[in-house]
Amino acid sequence: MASESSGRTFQEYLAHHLQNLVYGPLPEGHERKFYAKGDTAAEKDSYCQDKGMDYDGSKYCKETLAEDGWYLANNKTDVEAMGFWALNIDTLFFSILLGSIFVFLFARAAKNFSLEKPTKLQCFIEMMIDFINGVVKGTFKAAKNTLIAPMALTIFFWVLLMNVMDLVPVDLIPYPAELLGVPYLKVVPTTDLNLTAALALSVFVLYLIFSIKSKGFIGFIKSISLHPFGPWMLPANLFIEIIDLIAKPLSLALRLYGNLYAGEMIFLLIAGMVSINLAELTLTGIGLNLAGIALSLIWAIFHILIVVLQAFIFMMLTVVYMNMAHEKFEQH
Amino acid sequence: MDVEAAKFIGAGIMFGLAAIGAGVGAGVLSSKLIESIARQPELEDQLRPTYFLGIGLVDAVPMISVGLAFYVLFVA
Repeated sequence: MASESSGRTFQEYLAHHLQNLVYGPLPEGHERKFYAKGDTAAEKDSYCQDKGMDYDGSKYCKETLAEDGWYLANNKTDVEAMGFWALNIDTLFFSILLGSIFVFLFARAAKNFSLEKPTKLQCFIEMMIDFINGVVKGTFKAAKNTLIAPMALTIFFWVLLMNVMDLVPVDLIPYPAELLGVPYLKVVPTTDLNLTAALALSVFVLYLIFSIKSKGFIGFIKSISLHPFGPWMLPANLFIEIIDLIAKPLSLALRLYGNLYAGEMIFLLIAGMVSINLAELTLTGIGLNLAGIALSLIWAIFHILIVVLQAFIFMMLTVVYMNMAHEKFEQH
Repeated sequence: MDVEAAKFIGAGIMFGLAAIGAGVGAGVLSSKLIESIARQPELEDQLRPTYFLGIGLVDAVPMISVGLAFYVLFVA
């Protein structure tokens, strides 16, 4: 859809969809580039003149910043220049929005709770709570901790809602947003490594806290230094156990991110293939469009499995890690 | 070597190895599930969630590889 109307090639369409909306500080003297609209060089030049910028001769208008300040990034060089404080606004916005929807729905069901006349929402939520409760009871056996089941429920639903955004057609939200002046928009928060890494790091910090709480600080140090080979092989033990420790958040973050990113990528490839041929109503164009619709549908149906499964796996592994953290003595 | 050609070769290797790995993994997993159910049919309800968890874990790695292969092909 978007690729023909704004004159982008297939590659630019993909790159455009894979770029977050980033807001951050840019230094004085940094050169920014804007995409110039128009077909010929003269049109592009006048477009840049209208915006009060220079035309760089190929595809972009350029502007040199006169002072420091916070700006929306336009391309990868901008993001790199922003450094640490580059905020991915779209990820923040959609993840907080979906989290609020989750909290709002559950709070409403809890407020309108009734024994005689349960609503459909209440039945659904009771079913889900039963399901999560069953999973946690089956997996988390090391100690008593009433924090684990609510955390599992929160993680499952939040990640599930964020993953479900992947099933929204790829141009449905970004394209109108672009017409309204938002240059980039990624609607699936879990396709942003920053978010999955943040989730995994939170789980990891909880893992460390609960480990130290249940084993004691000395016990925790012992648990990572004294086995599997015994006290005489301390460096080797430490090496293995630290890799084991770091692999936990790393695999959690990369598994969720990789799956959703790959899924989104394939949706984008299908959409890109369709949109390229939308302008010409030839037989091949129509055929490709129909094939694209069919492929999108098939991939979406297959993707429902991945979306739910990845949310479930993230929750399940969190519970398993929490169980490991609560074990008094690790067994192997 | 031409960069474009190298991209296609690299992406092809990534697709192929991902497919082989996932195929072997899912095959072993499914065959063991069927074996277990054939031996002890009453355990089916307990085996199925574990099986899906395993399939999810097996499925993840090749999907990542395929996504990265597409990235190499079309974006990078």
